[in-house]
Parts: sequence; C-alpha cells; structure tokens
Amino acid sequence: MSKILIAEDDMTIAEIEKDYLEVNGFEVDVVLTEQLLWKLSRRANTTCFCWIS
Amino acid sequence: MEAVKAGEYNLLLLDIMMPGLSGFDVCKQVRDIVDIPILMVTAKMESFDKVRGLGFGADDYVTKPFDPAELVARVKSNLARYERLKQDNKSNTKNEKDEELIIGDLRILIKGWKVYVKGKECKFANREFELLVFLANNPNIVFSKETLFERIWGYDYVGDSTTVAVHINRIREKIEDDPGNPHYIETVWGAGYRFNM
Repeated sequence: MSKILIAEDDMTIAEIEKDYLEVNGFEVDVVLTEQLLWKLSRRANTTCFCWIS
Repeated sequence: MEAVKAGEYNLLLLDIMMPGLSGFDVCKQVRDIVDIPILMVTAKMESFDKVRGLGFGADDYVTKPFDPAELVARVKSNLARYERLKQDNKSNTKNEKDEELIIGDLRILIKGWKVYVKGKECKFANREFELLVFLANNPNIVFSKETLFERIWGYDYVGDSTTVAVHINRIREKIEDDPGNPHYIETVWGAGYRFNM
C-alpha cells in the first residue's frame, strides 16, 4: 500500500485530502509544512556534519 | 521528514501557501533529499507559479479549489509512473551494465538516473533528467518546445510548453559553465532547442 505525506498548513484542506486518499486505499500522514522545514534544516546540518567527519 | 528520508513515504503532497515561507524553496530542498514524487497543491492560479513549481522539482501540481477526484487521479498516476521508473532501474541494474553518455564534461548514467558534471554529481528532478537524456540521445537535432513537451510530459498532461523552457533553464544552471551563453543546450530562435555534440 502506498503511503502519502501531506505537508499542509490548512488543516481543513489537509483533512479533505486525507479523507479522499484514504477512501482510495492510501495510507496518509499529515504534517504542518513548517514542521517539514524544521526537520529538513536539522537534516541539512546532520549531512554537513557527516561530510566533515 | 526523518520518515521521508527513510523511504517510508511514496509521495509528498505539498501545499505552497505558507505564511512567511516559500513553498518553492521547500520543494527544492525536499527534492534535493528524496526522489519520491512531489505533488504541489497551490491556491495560486497564475501559470507562472505552476511553471515555477515544476521548475523547482515538483512532479505535478493541483490548483485549489481542487476536485478531489482529480487529486486522487494525479496521485495515482504519479505513483504509477514512479513505480514504473523504479522497476526499470532495478531490472536494468541487475541484468545489464548501465548505459553511459559522455559528452564533454558531462557524464550521464541513464539507468542509474545520475548526472555528473566535471566529476561532481548533480541532482536532477525526474522530468529534468528525462529531458536531458532525450536531448543528449538525439544530439544536433532541433526540437520545438511543443515536441519536447509531448515527448516528456505526454499529451494528457495539463500544462503548456512554457514548462519546457523552465526545465531547460534549470538544466542549464546545472550543466553549463555560463547558463546565459549555453554550450550544450542551445536555443534556436523561432525553432526550439538543440543539444550540441
């Protein structure tokens, strides 16, 4: 089963998207777009660290 | 995002209307890290924004207010396309040596889906890569924007050939020494683009 990540700040819209996708057999997680970015920047730092080491 | 990195997800649905943040930048950053399809959901109707989104590495877009059936259909078609590409890659790497294109400072591993410029690997969005491979496989021939759009995006794709110009620019930024004065992909005014070999 395919799993989809929704990055969305409007939870009403995210819920609509989630409902329709789930009805069609997808597994769905929702995050705030800002959370996605925050984790991205953390990962970018980690990557830099790896390169240096 | 840790989960995205770990390959838990098959597709990312990204809304670009964020207060204080540019969805395009987010898209670009995500694209540099993962190779799953990115479907942008945008409230902006200007085709410029759509094209910009695609140029930043999104695979497809849906505009708000969207028809949920269309959203599901696009998710499915992007997933199917991605799975097909992945399967092709897998069977190819198992059974045969990767086909390699070397043009000047460019090295393209067609089945490995990799591009090296002067020995350094450059990340390409799916359609950028397909466009580059198509042009590099057919050097010294001029293709119109419309032809390239049909070849890479397909007839059924909702969009227009302006997308091609955006992708060409993105490719040039990655492979050309001077993107303003391109050596590999030349613009033939009034006709289209030619890959010089």
